[in-house]
Amino acid sequence: MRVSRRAWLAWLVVVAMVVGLGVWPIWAQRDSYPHSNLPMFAWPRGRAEPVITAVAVRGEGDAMQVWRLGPRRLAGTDEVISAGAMLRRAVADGSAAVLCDEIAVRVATMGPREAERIEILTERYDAIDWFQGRRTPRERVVHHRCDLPVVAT
Amino acid sequence: MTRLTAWLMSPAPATRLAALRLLVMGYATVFLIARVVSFWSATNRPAWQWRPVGVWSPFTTAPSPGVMQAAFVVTVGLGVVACAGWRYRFTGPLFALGFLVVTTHRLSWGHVLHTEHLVVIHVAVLAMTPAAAVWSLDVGRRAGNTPDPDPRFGWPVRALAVATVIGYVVAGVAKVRYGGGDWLVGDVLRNQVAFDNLRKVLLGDHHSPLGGWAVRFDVIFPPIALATVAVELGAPLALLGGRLRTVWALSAWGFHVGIVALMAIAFPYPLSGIAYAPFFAVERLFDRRWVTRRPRPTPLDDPRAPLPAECAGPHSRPLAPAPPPVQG
Repeated sequence: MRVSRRAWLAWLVVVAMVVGLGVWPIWAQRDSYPHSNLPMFAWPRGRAEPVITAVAVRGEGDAMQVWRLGPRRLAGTDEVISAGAMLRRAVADGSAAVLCDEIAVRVATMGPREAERIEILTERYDAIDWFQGRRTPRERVVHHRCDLPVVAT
Repeated sequence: MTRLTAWLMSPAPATRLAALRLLVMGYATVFLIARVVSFWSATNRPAWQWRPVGVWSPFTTAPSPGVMQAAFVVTVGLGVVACAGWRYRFTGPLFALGFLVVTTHRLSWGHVLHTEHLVVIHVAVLAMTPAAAVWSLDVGRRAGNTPDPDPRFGWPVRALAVATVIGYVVAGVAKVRYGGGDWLVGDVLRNQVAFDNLRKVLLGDHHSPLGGWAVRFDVIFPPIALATVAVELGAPLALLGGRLRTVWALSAWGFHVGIVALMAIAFPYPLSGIAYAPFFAVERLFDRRWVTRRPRPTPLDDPRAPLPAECAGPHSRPLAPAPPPVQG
């Protein structure tokens, strides 16, 4: 009797896991935590997908200098994928200005000191060509610009 | 059904479940400590970025930084004591709850990473099982010997293995479902490797130079894609045990090494090997004197050793104690 009751508990746990972690997320196409349909690397991608980024900039035109910023300056995190997701969402929901100001404050304190402004933009390259040295952007659209604040030194 | 129940409920030694407690809860605790900067920075993010998932879904505003920082510290402490098996009936479930809360909070800012999904399930399963029946501080407070192999130590081990298998199968189904035929012929994978590395470059992070170099060669991606889906959808084979299990575990581990090499993305739980520990007799890892505290061997344990004077004489030699049966 004791073993039988234990077997019921064991089955309950296993079935709950199969349904809750397997069947339900697949059926509902739900990417959450701790249940997820685990869609990483699964979605179809073309060679030239848009990437929303933010860069620190100085100057204009041919004299323009651009600095890539890294996840710490972009989003205050060390997770680059999270930083990218935050940029995407900020552009999508119209909060790019807020995020731009936050990035500007971090860049003003963490550098590069020579930067004058932050640009949040969409860049599109042929990713496979890029790694073979052909790095001309197919698209470069600036969504928002903001100046760096003056920080007392 | 009867055979499945017999498989699920087949006995296992208490030491195997205890070893899994040490490995899984130890991993979870070390993970929290190693990623403290990430967890800490998550408590200070701007309120407009709050996108709750999981257990935080009902909360429309983020908890205050102080509350989450306190929860994090308490959870790390619970992890240490649960790992040590101190008052495990309480500290085990509390650690599981704390781990769920703090890891969910870190993922509630707009993007769900997939590095902790299996860990939190393994911790939860272990928390509700007698994983501290041996090799724990609780044992020191109780009289009694090491319990015999029993179904109550066996089914949690199988449940942990099933959880690992589910994760791989779900990921494999996603690739076939969302990527379709293009995934299987390698085009999606090649573009994914190129895109992911380029995205890292554009966002100012480290990328994989090997991945950037490899995308030049389209011929290498179809076999990698097929092998990936085969490993993921073939995960249930590991439940059969034996050589199939070992081959699958090595293949899955190699698959994660490949992800690191080509995309600079680390899934530390499988890379550590602990995700696959429920498939193996991991108690052997801990079969050392400092853990098991076996008594020092006496001359009587060694039939070749000279007998002590009090045993010498016309009597027959006393037999050395029989070794315990191998429990697998």
